[in-house]
Amino acid sequence: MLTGHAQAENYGDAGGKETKQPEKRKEKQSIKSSEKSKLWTILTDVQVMSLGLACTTFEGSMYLFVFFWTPALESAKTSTGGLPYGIIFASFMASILASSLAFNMIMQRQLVKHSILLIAIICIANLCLFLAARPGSEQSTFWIFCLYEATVGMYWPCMGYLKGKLVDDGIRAQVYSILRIPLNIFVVTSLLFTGDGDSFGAVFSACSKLLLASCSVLGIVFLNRDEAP
Amino acid sequence: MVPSVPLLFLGRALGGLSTSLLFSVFEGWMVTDFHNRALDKKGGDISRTFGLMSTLNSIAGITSGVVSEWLVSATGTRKSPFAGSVVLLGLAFWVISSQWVRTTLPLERNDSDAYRSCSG
Repeated sequence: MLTGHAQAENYGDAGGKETKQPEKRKEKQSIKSSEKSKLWTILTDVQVMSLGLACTTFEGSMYLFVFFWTPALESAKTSTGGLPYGIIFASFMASILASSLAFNMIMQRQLVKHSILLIAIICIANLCLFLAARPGSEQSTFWIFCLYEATVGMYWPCMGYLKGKLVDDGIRAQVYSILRIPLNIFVVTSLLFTGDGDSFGAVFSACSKLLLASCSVLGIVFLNRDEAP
Repeated sequence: MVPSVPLLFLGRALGGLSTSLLFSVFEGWMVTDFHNRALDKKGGDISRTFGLMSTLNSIAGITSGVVSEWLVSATGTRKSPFAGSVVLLGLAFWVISSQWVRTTLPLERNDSDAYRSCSG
């Protein structure tokens, strides 16, 4: 079983060497156009589009979080001495570990559908960033960040599964790459507008609003579908 | 270490490129390969595999966080974790370039589209 992409690639090689085969070239063109239309059908599918939105807002917030968690913790710091960044980072990763183990436990018992879990994850992440935008104590900021990282740990397997279900095999790599374009634009634009680390409050609250929006869109798209994964 | 801003930019650009590829291409390959070999019918579960991936990722993260903290305190400079990452990246380069080709070649012979659609 060869996919459209692989076929187009093979014919692409043949077309270069054997120029005296117009039928083959025609076939190649029709395969290429059918591949394009397939790509277009997948990309304009409302479920895939809503996943793209979720991917842009959630992963975008995640990248911005990577930039801003240090200044946020610095500003909330009341204790003396330097912060143990390595240990703090390790605690974040431990939250991811715990939540990814929880993910497997939840999914093995089939407690919720993946799409519903994704909505819950984004909702909690939205809440965390909303709280992190306000100044709080050193301890509370740290624990809010840990909870945020926990949502990240559940997001990856959940999103990976959903994308795997909704995107067809032949054009997977293309669709995945295209879904990342708005994400990168989003991160670059936000970083251009917020040069220094002190504006983390504004960034976190903007991210939380965007997450709320994508959470609502996901809710509208997935909640009324019985066949949703 | 060389204190040079253009070099830092180059590093960021290459880092961004490889992160993008890591997430889109590798994940695409994994799911397609999973379908090709019909692992779900052999008792595999892609959702569980993703969960395991996230778990292992975080274990690597915890280890690197603790090790980098130790490196900073042992060497007294915040630059040492970067040197450590150079060693790890070199190791990854060696493993990927020597091992991954061998595992993908039989797939190509079986006319599997996973390898082709990814390599193309």
